[in-house]
Amino acid sequence: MEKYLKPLYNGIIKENPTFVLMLGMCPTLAVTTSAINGMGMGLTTMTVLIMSNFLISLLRNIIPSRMRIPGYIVIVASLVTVVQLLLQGYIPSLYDTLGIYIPLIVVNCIILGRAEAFASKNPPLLSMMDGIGIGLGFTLALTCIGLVREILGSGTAFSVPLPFSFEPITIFVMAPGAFFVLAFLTAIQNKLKLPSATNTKESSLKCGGNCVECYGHQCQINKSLLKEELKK
Amino acid sequence: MKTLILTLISVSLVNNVVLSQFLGLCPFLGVSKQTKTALSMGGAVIFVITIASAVTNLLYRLLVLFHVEYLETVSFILIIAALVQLVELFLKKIF
Repeated sequence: MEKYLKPLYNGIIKENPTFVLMLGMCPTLAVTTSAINGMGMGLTTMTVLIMSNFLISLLRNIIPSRMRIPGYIVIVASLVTVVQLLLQGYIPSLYDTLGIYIPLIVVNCIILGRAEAFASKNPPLLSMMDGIGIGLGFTLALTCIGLVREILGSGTAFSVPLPFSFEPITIFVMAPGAFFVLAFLTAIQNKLKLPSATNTKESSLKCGGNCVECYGHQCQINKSLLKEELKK
Repeated sequence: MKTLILTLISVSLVNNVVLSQFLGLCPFLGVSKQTKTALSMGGAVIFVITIASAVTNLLYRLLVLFHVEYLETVSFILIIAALVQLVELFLKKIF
């Protein structure tokens, strides 16, 4: 039971996709113009991530190693098509808001990254829990960023006007505002020395010590570097 | 002719793909440390997008003919992945 709760903690805090791994920046900056949009995008990505992790984990012993990337991409693309049609039918307002970022979930680095790093090496139920964890982490991150941008940029929070009024800083809900928020977040992480993509400790290992990114092609590079180290 | 020039200016300057529409941020953050890598990535993307747009347009017309528009995501991704592999082979041969 403990084993199944660990990926949840991992996904929300230790390997949060937005703040630590810095994957999937395109939807993060583009749809967080309000908190509800951010939450909607996060939940859609979580749905796709859970199902894709589950399917890829079931098929992990059948797909040959050389064909894994095209195989994963076809699976994820089919799932996103299904989710897109369902959204278009049942939640048209969310579909209109997210626009072209729904098909872009296919090439979201989070989905393929977790498929290669986790789902291809672990049993189905564990992979599904990892999908839930990472998805929740992503949703929380998007909702927080969306909330900050919405409060500063349009003076509302979840479309409810705030009790105190002030002149909103409109630039925050436009394109440059997203880059500002990202820069502030990275600056805070660097200042407080929180674990993040820009803040990895210098490791004495030849491969750089970045275990989070050690999969697929990088894994082969790291293995050859470590082998050279052992030979000396 | 005027439409073409307006389109060119609009997509490259006014609605810049990376800075305004937020597409392609992952490579943007990754290669913009040096001018050389940025230029190479830009060249590769120009090559892939030009050919991919033409081919996917033809493919979309074919899909509409058979009333299977919902296959657009999967088929576009496969075409683009194949083209990127082609570009990789091309670049290895030339450089």
